[in-house]
Amino acid sequence: MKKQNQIDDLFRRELADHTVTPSPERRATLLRDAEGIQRKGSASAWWIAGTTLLILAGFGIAFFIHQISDSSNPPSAIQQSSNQVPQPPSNPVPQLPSNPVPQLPSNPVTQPPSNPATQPPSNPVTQPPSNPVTQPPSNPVTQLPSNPATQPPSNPVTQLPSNPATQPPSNPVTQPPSNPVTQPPSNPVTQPPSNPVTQPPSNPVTQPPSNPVTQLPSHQQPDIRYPSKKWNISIGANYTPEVMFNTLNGDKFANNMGLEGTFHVGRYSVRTGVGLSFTTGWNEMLVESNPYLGAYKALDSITFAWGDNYNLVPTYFTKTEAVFDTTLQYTYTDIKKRYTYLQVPLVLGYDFWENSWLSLGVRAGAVMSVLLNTKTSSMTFDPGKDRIVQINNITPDRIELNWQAMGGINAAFRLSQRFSIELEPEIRYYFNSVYESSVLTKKPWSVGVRAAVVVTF
Amino acid sequence: MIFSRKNTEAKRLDQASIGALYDKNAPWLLAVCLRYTGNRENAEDVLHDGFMKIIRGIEKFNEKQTGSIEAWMRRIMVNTALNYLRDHKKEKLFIELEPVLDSIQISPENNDVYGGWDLSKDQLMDLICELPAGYRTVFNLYVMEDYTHKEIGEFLGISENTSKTQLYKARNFLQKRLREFQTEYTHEKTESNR
Repeated sequence: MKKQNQIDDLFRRELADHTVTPSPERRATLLRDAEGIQRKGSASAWWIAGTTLLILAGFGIAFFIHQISDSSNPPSAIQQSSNQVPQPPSNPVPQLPSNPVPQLPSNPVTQPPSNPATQPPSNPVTQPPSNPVTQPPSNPVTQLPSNPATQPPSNPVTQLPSNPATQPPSNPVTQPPSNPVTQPPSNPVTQPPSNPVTQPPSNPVTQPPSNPVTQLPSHQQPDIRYPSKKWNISIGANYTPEVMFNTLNGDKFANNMGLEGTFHVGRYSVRTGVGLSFTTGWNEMLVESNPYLGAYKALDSITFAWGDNYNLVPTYFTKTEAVFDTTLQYTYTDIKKRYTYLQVPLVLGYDFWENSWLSLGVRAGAVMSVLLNTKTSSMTFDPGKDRIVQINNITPDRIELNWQAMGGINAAFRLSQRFSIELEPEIRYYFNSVYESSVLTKKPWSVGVRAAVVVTF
Repeated sequence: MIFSRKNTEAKRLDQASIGALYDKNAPWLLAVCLRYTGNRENAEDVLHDGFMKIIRGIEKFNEKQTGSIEAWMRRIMVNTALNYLRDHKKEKLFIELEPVLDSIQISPENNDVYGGWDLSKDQLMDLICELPAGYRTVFNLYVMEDYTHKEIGEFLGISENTSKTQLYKARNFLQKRLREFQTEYTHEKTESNR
């Protein structure tokens, strides 16, 4: 209990609520300097707003597209791609007029003798195209009998071989004219009417599919990217700028980069990899020192030697001694440090929508961070000639192991069958503070956008 | 309202809030700085530095853990003033008088220092500013901030006896100056009654 003293009471009573009006110039200076601090904060506020907007937009677009695709009950992806080709109009193949092939009158007089020599050779060239519609019925009159001895070889140029064994007996009367193109004599009687072939051109594009396509359930639909493969592996490199909140020194910016590998099974995926994270932070320190007052030459030793007049001549040896004030001096200083973390993620994913060039999905998982290195990047406190007694870390040190949960929306843009670019806005929540002894009750969290270049095999 | 009473942690300030905070608290904080620095210009420098620390640290301020915001701001300002004195002192703030103290007989304090007259607050402030830096620091910490000699010793890195000696010398100085004021006041009153 303090002793009562009238001087103390006087000054305490009169000056406890004493005020002195500061100058307006100082006020303006303070507000100007304070604005610089606020600008730092507003930059991160823009980061938050932009990233949040991006994530919400991604969610909205994905949800909207998913709703549309569900409501219209779209066909499978394969059917969808084939449906893109315009279907031909359903025109039946025009039928030839039912014009029966004129039959030869059964007139034994006009009927040519059944002489193999007079029969025109069956020439594949002259035969009408094998069309069930236009092909006349096989007319035994105009066909050569199947006689291996007389049947000419199947040769479009149906020259009869000069083979006495197979050559039909030369009949001076009925020998067929030696014509390279052994067209049969145009016999209007026997020749089928020349009707234009009205068969539609065989166009594989306009042909209707031969098999009706059956729609597969979505989870059984093959991967549009690699229809022939049910699974695939991709590797890539990523970069993720990240803004952290709920840290001691305000908001923090971190650069994350690394290599990753993803295993896709249908629409599901598992991603892991290894990466590095670089972040900086200001550490406040309290330096206790004894101020330097000066130095003096202290006598170290004396030696004596005989002089010329038999007297002792001393020689003084001195050393410089510094003098420090015993009063402790307290100095607060900020030191900038750079932290390097090793990050190992394990992220599960599900692609809920995709087409030929874009796929959207959700990602969620955990990330492990291990502190690898701490480096002081700014100039350390320079005590000058003062003697440092103690340095106290006001800002706690960083912990060595940290776990985070992450979630995000993944958008993959396919540049080719193998190469794609991924953008993934994400949010991370830290299960524990990044500091060893945190004075904050809240856990840090962060937002970022992962950009990756991926090669798929 | 700048700080939400529902939340225990203060919000980040915008420009308007900073201006309002400054207008409300700068006058009494400047008086605190003036008591420590002894002159107006240095006091405003200290006020500026201290206020910047307040603005930076206000988002971390937790009323439950730290106490009232006025007390928190006061502590920041006092620490800033003391750091300023240490950084800019041209002579030692304190002289260890322990070996000398035994030879000094401390006279009993004369409590009948003043009576019947009034000094304005500005005049009392001027008396404080006239004190040497070391006396002024200990006097402010003991009388105005209500620290004990042990706490002052730990805070300033001096012994308890040094703190007591400094306070004794400060009181003697102020006592002497107040007597001089009293003498002048009496003389002026006498002259005016003639």
